[in-house]
Amino acid sequence: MTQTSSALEQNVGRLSELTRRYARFSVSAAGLGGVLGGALVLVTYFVGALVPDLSAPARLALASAPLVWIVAKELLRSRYYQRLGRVEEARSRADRLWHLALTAVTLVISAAIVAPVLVKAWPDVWDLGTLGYLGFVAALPLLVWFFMRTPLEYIAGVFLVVQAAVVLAGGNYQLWQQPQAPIGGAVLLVLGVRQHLEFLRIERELERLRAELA
Amino acid sequence: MSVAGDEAPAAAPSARALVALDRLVHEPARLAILTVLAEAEEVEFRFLESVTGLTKGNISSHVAKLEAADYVTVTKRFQGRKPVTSYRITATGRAALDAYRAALSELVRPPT
Repeated sequence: MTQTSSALEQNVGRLSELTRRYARFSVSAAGLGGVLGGALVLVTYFVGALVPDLSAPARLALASAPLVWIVAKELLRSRYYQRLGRVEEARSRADRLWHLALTAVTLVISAAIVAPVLVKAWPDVWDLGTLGYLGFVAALPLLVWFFMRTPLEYIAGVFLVVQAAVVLAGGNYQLWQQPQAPIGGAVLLVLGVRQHLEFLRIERELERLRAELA
Repeated sequence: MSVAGDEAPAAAPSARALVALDRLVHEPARLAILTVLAEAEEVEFRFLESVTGLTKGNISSHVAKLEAADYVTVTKRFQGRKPVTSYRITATGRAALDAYRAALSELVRPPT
């Protein structure tokens, strides 16, 4: 038996645990992506609600928040948190069903909003405001399915998307209308920091393990 | 004071467990590969290489044996121009790993 083989045998438990912890960063842990999402929710929530008469650039900036978040979160996931190689987290059946249910509910709500708006506004739907509103609401189920995989990401992501739709249509939420958003955003932010620190620990432990196996 | 006839039944379960150990899983590199795969849905080659300290050739040859036994499946695809190889443990592989762990724990359990 070679030295590496013997060391591998002794470290099977650590391998198993580190793989499981690293794999979380492929799906259920976003780390700095969560920090960014939480911060965007808090900033856009208060700007959208408290700044009177939002200018066109401000509305576009608020509308771009969900896209900025999703792109940054996924880049961080693939280029930073999974840079040693992608390890897709094994999710429980309950987790998968929960995600499927959230997506299905979102699809029903989205259809219930888009269909009457489309019918009522037709054929005057070709302005940026209406198109933007309908586009964001119609895309929401897809965004939930692909990019909002945990309850907190769901709360933050859905808020960012529906706020984007509302501000493009010329409206804005009042401070009391979406109270779950700043709470969810704050929790996501704190959790993101904790997850990032956990990732740094995993990285150090993987380095130590590699050194022992070398 | 023990009698030879008394020791035989206590040793018997360990001997059975030793025989029952799956040799394919028992090899340390393959045990490490299966252990990593058992903790995830799918694992890229790069991660296996980085975390086990095994060489590319070693991983490939061990995985080929595991694949031949239907313990893992291999997926090859391209990300842009870069080839990416990923592995999944199969239900057979998971059952073999569980059986191996059970046999091993029986083997190391002190005789009662």
